[in-house]
Amino acid sequence: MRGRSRSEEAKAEAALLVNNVLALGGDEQRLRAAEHAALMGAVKALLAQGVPPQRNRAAGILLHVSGAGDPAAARALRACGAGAALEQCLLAPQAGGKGAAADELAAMRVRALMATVNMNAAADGARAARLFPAALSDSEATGSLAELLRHALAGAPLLGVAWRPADVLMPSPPTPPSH
Amino acid sequence: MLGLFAQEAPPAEGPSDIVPPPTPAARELARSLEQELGRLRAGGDASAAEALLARLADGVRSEAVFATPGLVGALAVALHSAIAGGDAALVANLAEAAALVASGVPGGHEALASEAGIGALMAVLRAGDAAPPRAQARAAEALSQVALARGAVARLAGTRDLLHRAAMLLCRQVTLPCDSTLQPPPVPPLS
Repeated sequence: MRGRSRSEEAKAEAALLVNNVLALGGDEQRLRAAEHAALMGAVKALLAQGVPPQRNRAAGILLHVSGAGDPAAARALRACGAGAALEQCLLAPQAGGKGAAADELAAMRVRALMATVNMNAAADGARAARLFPAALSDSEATGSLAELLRHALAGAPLLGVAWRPADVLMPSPPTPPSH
Repeated sequence: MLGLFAQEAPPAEGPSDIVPPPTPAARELARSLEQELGRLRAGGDASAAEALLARLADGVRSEAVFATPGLVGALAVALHSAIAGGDAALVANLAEAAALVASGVPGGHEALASEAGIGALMAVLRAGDAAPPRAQARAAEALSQVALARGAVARLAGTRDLLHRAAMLLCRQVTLPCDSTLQPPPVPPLS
């Protein structure tokens, strides 16, 4: 991260802080984040325009929010346009290359993919069929999910992240039916 | 939910907080640093803060310092004092010290997860122009590690404006109408 401006550094650290709080803070924090319009706007901007570590952390934030069990969080996430930002991120051509930046971007894609899956799972059936068809029908996405599951079952971290099988197979509790 | 970053303990097993007991030398160094922190004054000799930071960094590198409650308490008091005195350079150096303690000192993130530690770090995020971006970056870094301490997230959430302050940092130099749309919730005082 050398060479970044102090503000850029502050942004990366703030994103890590939000990620950690959401990772450990439960549904209350995730809902609060989902409903914080300016925070979600900043996270989407970071996901699209940030340097690789910032983009990775932004994807992490959206991943945690997307995993909230509260349907209100899922609704807020859809309403703020996070799905489109994630899809744009997934459909963009991969930069390729090796090194720390490439690893960050690869990890970002995995997180963005799982966030997209979570959002799809949290939607009702009819809506789910229409959400993110391009991002999720892509063969690379299927391959990534399979690789993610392989690592989760083996208990091996993927790109520095340890996933549990349940995180991949049951990423989000089903949304209660609305009557 | 997993998906944490490298600096983090996996939540499935709960945050890791097993810390070896401090050696007498580590305690002594912490006590010495605590005394130096107590002598720092806003608007005072800037080189004293830099020297302290260098000593702390040396201690972290050589694993010769331990985060005692006294050290963290002194750091918190010094931070509040520097913010109140409007000494941006001192705030930055002390926030740097807090980040070092949080991420490099055994027991550091646990010790900083006290109300005093969290209160001081949040004060940096709330300080506006009195805390330059370096200070805010280091305070956010320290808080991101503090969040991993057992029970700390609830304490952090209790500050209520944590997400708001983080959003303010994220909005810097991003074309978003931060100032007009962000309405901070009321912040209860930390006792």
